[in-house]
Amino acid sequence: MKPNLQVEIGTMLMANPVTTASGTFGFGPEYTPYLDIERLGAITVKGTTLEPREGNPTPRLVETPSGILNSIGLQNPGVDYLIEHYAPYFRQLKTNVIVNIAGNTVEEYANLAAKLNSVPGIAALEVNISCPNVKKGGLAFGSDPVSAAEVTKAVRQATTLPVIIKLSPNVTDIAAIASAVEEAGADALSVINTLLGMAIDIRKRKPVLGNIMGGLSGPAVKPVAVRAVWQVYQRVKIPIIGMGGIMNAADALEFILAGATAVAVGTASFINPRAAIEVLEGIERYLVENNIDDIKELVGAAHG
Amino acid sequence: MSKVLDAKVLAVYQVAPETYYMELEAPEIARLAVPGQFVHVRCSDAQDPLLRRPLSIHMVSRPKGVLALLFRVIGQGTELLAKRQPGDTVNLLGPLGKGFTLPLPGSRVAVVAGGIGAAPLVFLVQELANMKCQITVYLGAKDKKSILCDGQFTQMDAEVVIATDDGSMGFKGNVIDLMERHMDWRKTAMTYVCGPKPMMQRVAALLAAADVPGEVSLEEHMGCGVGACLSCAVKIAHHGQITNKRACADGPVFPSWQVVWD
Ligand SMILES: Cc1cc2nc3c(=O)[nH]c(=O)nc-3n(C[C@H](O)[C@H](O)[C@H](O)COP(=O)(O)OP(=O)(O)OC[C@H]3O[C@@H](n4cnc5c(N)ncnc54)[C@H](O)[C@@H]3O)c2cc1C
Ligand SMILES: Cc1cc2nc3c(=O)[nH]c(=O)nc-3n(C[C@H](O)[C@H](O)[C@H](O)COP(=O)(O)O)c2cc1C
Ligand code: FES
Repeated sequence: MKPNLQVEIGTMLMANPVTTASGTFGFGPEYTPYLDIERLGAITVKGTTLEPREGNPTPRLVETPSGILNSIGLQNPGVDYLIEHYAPYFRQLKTNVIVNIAGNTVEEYANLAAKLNSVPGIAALEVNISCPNVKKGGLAFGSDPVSAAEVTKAVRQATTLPVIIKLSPNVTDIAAIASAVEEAGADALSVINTLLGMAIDIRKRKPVLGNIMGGLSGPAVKPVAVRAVWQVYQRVKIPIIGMGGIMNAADALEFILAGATAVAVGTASFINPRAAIEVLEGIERYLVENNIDDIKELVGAAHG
Repeated sequence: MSKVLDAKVLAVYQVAPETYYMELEAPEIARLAVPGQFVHVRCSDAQDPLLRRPLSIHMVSRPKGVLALLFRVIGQGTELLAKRQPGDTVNLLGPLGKGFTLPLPGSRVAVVAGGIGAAPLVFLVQELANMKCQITVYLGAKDKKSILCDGQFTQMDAEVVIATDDGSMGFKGNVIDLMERHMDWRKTAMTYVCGPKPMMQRVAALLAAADVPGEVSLEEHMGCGVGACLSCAVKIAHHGQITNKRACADGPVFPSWQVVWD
């Protein structure tokens, strides 16, 4: 018998627990030559802001041991462009599309949520209160329980779509933020965004990235991410989408056992464009091999 | 449509200081590739180095299903790649990017190569020669030992003029000084350029001043190679507006007059 892979993130039904991490999968079409993106439980698209953004100066990416630092700076064509040019494509896709949003002020987050609320083809909003690469907003909201709750409330009031709050690992007590946004009405949490880091070119004696600091992702961050999911799971009842360094199914299963209901594949797609599908196939194989009929039995199972 | 696949290494050898030639069996990619495109190469199976490395398609033989790379060892990734042996496999993603715009058959064209920038231009000259174009290659490097591909260009009936910084071969000076003396490129339908950024910038200025169309192949640090991560942004001016384009998916080849150099 085929195991049941279906999971729910708020009112969003996912055929399986695998999605992509925002900013690592474009808007979807970029990866269609390599995998059937409609087989994924959802795709999460690049972060969107109210106004178009040019992003940060180059170099915007540098490799570090088993990881990468990026300082893209939320380059995107703006929400109106997304609604006009990408939403019709999203509507045709036979999978959920999660739109990731970021603002400079609480009002901007609410505005974005309101604009996207009635757009067909969008299944959920992922609210980025944790981007380390923008000066205003971003991380500032994600590092304080009070402002994180404020953003959550404003978005909650502006939309009927499931609201997923994306948490930053760059805080002392991630569970406290998780708890605050749960209380403020979040339907789910994404854990984690990138870790603030930097690299210096010893030949030029200058920071490598054009924006000096960047966000660390990839296998190097996995232990931090698994820990964060573990701590958040102990504090909240709402589902968690786990991410941070997932390269294969074994990594994804660690997140699920730590408490993630779904997982997102990020940096791994750069190395293996088929990574997300291989994660899905590997999870399914694991369930079959271990006689588990429902993925939900594994969620948080490591907590005993 | 681009592919991801394991390609068998057929040959690998050093051709110049720090410079390696590698031949790979990859019929699907060889069949689809056009000059100026690149492959995103996994240099190791481990997680460090993690990312793929972009390398231009140097030559293809479609009948044999073979593609060749020519690369300079500059860091961890290219060093590991150079150590591969015939019979090993290398995972390739490609062909990626938009290639050079080909002229009308029989046109007069100029090709300007600086250092390892010669790599993609051999495939281009292959195609131009098939189109019976009249080709002049301006080839520059720091010294005689570092001059790449001059034999290949000559074999394809291109006229080759060489400049070396130390004068150990051809003209003493850089390729731009050489072009300034050599007037032929001013009458071309297109000038194709690949080399270090400052060199491409100066050639682009020469072309603009002479009102000659040109194309340059740009380099940026790449994450995905397929247009998804936006790490490879380059500034391009079009109709008076400057926008970010993706070197991997919108390029790496861009019209020389549209590039905003900084
Ligand atoms: C479209 C394109 C085509 C290229 N074609 C060739 C070619 O045919 N032959 C050749 O010798 N070189 C080519 N390069 C440059 C080549 O990609 C770099 O030399 C190589 O990535 C260096 O890797 P490394 O691990 O040895 O060096 P490291 O310094 O260890 O690399 C560290 C990181 O920086 C990135 N990186 C470093 N330098 C560059 C660069 N100049 N461009 C893009 N990413 C870089 C690497 O991908 C890696 O993520 C090309 C670059 C681009 C963008
Ligand atoms: C190039 C790049 C761009 C990203 N852009 C965004 C973004 O726009 N919004 C966001 O919430 N997270 C963004 N992220 C963070 C990822 O979605 C993810 O949380 C993080 O990379 C950890 O997962 P990974 O290690 O599997 O990549 C980006 C990450 C990378 C590498
Ligand atoms: S390398 Fe990812 S968009 Fe160009």
